[in-house]
Amino acid sequence: LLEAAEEGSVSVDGLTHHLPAPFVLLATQNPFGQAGTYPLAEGTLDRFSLALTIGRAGADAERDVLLGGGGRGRLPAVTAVTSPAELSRAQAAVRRVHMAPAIAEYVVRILDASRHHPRVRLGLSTRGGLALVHLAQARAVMDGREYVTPGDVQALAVAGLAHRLLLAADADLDAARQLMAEVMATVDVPRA
Amino acid sequence: VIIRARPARPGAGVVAPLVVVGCGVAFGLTAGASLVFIAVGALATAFASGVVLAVTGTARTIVVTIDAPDVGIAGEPIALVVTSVASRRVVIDVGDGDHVAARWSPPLGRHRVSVEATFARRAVHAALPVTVYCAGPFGTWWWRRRTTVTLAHPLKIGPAVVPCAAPATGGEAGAGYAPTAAGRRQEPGAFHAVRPWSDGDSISWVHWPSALRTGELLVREWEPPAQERVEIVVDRSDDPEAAERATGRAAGEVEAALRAGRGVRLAVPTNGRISAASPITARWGAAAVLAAADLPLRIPEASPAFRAPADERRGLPRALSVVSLWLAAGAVLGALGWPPVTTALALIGLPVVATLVHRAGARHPGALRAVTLAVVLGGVGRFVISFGDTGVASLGTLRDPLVELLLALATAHAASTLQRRSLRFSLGIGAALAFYAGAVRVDPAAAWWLAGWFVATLLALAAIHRSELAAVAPVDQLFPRADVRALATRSGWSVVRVVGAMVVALAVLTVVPIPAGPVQFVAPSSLPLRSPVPKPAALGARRPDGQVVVSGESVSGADDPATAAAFGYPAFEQSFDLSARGRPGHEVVMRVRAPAPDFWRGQTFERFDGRRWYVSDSEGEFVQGPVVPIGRLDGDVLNTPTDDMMQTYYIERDVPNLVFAAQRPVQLFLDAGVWVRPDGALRADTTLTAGTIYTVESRRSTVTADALRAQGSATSGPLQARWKSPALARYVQLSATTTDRTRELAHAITDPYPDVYDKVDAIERWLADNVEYDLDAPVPPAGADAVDHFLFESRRGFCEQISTALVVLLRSIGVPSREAAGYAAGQRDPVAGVWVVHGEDAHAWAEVWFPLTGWQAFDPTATVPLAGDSAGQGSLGAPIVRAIGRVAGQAAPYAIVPVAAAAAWPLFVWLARRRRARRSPAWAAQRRFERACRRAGVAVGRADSNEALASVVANRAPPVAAAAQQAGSAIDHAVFGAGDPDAAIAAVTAFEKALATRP
Repeated sequence: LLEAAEEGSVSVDGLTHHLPAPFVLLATQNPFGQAGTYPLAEGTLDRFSLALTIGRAGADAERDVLLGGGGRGRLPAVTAVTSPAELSRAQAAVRRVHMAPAIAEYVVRILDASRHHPRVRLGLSTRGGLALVHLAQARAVMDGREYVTPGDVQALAVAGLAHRLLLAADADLDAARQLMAEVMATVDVPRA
Repeated sequence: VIIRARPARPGAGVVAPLVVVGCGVAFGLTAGASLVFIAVGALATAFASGVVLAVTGTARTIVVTIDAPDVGIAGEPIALVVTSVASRRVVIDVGDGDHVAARWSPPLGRHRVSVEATFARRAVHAALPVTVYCAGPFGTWWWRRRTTVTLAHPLKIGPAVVPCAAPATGGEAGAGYAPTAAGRRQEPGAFHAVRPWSDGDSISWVHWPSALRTGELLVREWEPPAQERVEIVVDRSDDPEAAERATGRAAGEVEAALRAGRGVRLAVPTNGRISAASPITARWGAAAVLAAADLPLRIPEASPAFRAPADERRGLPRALSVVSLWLAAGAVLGALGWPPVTTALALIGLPVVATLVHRAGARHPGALRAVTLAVVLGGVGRFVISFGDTGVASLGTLRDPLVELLLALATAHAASTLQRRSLRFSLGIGAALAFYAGAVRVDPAAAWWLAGWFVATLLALAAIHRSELAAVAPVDQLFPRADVRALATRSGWSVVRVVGAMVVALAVLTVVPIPAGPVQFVAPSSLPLRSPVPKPAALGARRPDGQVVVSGESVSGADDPATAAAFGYPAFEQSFDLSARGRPGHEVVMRVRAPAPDFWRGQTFERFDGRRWYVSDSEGEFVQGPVVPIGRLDGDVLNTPTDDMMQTYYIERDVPNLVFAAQRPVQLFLDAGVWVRPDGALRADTTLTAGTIYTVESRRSTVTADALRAQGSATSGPLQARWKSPALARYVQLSATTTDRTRELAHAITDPYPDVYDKVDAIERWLADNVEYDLDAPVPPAGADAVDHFLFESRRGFCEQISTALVVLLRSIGVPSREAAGYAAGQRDPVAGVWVVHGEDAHAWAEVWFPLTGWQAFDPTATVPLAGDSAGQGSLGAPIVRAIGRVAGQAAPYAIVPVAAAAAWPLFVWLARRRRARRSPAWAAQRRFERACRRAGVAVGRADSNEALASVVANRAPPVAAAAQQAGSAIDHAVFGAGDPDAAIAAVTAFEKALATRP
């Protein structure tokens, strides 16, 4: 899983199989019925870009589902809007979004602040910072911009970093998110 | 809510500083020492600014919000999550009637902390009473502010649980009472059916008839018993105590039942009637139900005042207190001239005892305590005995015993306790010692000692207060960062304010006139070295070789320079020659603590032979000290209006056995035998060496020119007969060498004036007009009358010649007069408040007798005849202002640099800003954007991005949402992308306009 997540390849019996590009790894976790499952190691968790809690569907969406607007019946109606190659190009383009040095310094300060927080047993890794930068670039693209702003970093810091924090044994992801928000509140934003 | 801060504890914290300050004022007034007033003023200002800081500290924004859990149990701690914004170190109490539920000292700045709170009694709190205490940087006076903090949801505190045994099966749990039946092993319920035997069933449950009938092992099956669901009904009672016992009991029953695995239903009265029982699954549930129960509840209103925790183990406050005490003791001991061994013991003893006690910690060393108790008892005993011994009860006579007592107290105190309050007590003892030192010390070193003491005392007080705050229940800081910076900034500002206040106070003190001086202050005499004068009633001086020489009996010729130098000044001998002029040096001879300047007279001369003056032949009367009353003297006049003046002489350099005194001395305090001569000159039976201290009480006649003039002369006025008193005949005797032209001159000058005062005045004016003061005046030729030579030949002379001329001229016209010698007042030391007398202040002047006021000094050498400066004039600031003026005058050309720099600083800042704005329009846009956000009511933090700010603005003011977001992203584009800064400025302008025109 580590290899797949990091290098996009799987090695079996000394033979490396490259995974098709684009490759996306999604892991889900149910809040209940976790008997028999094992928590992921910190190193594995660090490979995930984002941790989101989707929660239940909203009332409107639920109504749509009940009215039959969704479901398996609609699957055939789904058409491709892009090709894998185009998606790969888009991914590559995201990497080229301009990021000012001040923003990189900002991210470094965030990583540093997390490492000095008294309630954090293990602070953020450089990999976490890299992921945050990529996420911010992607958000800039989705917002139609060719540069990253501190707002991008702030908007994604909790989702992109909280699951990487190692807190006290009984802390859950919510506690980590809260703590990440506290960390963000102490780091000065780059300004003009 | 604005609530006035009120003193939290107007007890010891207020009284003790007032006592200390009052003590200092008393010492200062008694001794007339400006130094004491400076120290007192600085200390009072420090206290006052501490109070101001405390009041502003409690009155300023102290924001407290409390997140409390829903339910707690009385007597068991719960965690409150408290967010506080404090601008100063405060102590916060959450009250619970007469009990403090939680107390903590939050860090400075904005913080969330977890506070452990224990509520004493059952209650439902919709809001919590919060008291904020603040004490300024020195912690002497606590101020408090009270308010209530409303909770988001009520906090239910269940009753304290009374432990109960688990209700036994089948027991009858009555209304809040213990089950009645227990013990016998009973079946768990009613017989219901039979079932096959399974593992764990008791053998006694086997239903043998059925087992035999079916051939299979069957056991009774029991219906789940009704008793398994424990139902508890709490009785309503009008007695609050009974209600509390019942609820506690109920909570205990519930807990026991839950622990036994039973289901519980709890029925308590609400609104006066018992509603349906509610099922309880956890003790918290029971606590919540019982807390909200409509049972009588008594909460006392009284709230306890805050007292800082007493236990003190920290080293720093103790060390600083010892330093403060040590400096105060050092200042006093230096002044008292204790033997070095005693001083060393006292100065080493203090820190050693303090260290021992600190090391010993909680164990009180019993032996040490016994020793210090003995020391204190000894000090008190000595104090009492000396009090009984001395004839004159005044502060000064008690000084050694008083200091011994204070030092013994301080040492014993340091040894006997570890508490913080007692550290303040020992600082108070130190303050008394320091003020005393300021009162009795006359040398400039006292100022340095007191400055050191002052700084150490303030540091000790601040350290004590800090440890006090630290000893308040420590909090679990959820988010402690940025604390250090806020703390440093805030305490830095506090220090700046306190120091600023003290500088202002000292500046004010410098323009306050120097106090008039001692009202009644008799310093005990001190004679460090007795070198008896070999001949009774003679004048003696101690030569550097240790030999005491007697005036007029030269050991090696008439003009032995060593002997002359020992007397210091020719007129301090039995007789002096007008043709010889000593050259006294610039060294300090003595310091005189006196409220006003005067001539410090040594002796007078009666007979003049044309060249030499001679003292009276009468030896006078011998009186043994230490208290020497001075009886009737020649020329005394009764019922003269007088004022008393105490002078204390601190001899700095060996002088002859002349005891100096302002005219007219009435009492001398010197522990030696003294010859009181008829002219009031005092001669001790030992020479006075450096370190000698004695005090003289003088009764000065209060005269004015008019009062003197009104006394007429021998030929005019109502007192003619008195002027011709035969007792004064020897004061009008002239030498045989007096020339006729001298007499004629006297008449020529004085005849136009009928009254003696005017005659004296006329001679002085004539001398001023016709004679020059000249230290290198030619000596009269051998055989010539010195006065004649001075008046008609040389017309140049020094003070001895000028004053002798006055006396001879006066005697020529029959006015009783004599020559006096001593020291002029000297320079006033503005800090110690003493007159510093140098060798060159040695002086000779004339004394003229008046029938109503007695001997009156006239100084023909000085332009002002009656005295030097007038009393108590000037202020501490005057020399400082003069010094500043002098320095400023010299440094004016250089001063322009810092002044110009200071003036240019705002311009420089403005230019720098403008340059930065020019270089980066985005920066200007950012500033304007933030300012606009603030106008929209949004707090701008350092950690807020423009995007976040814009979205908060959008939430708060929806009409400007789009403009705010555009402005924010335009700035970001300019700063982090390749955007146009002018576009950013335009967007910000649009945002500002939208903000200004929003409905």
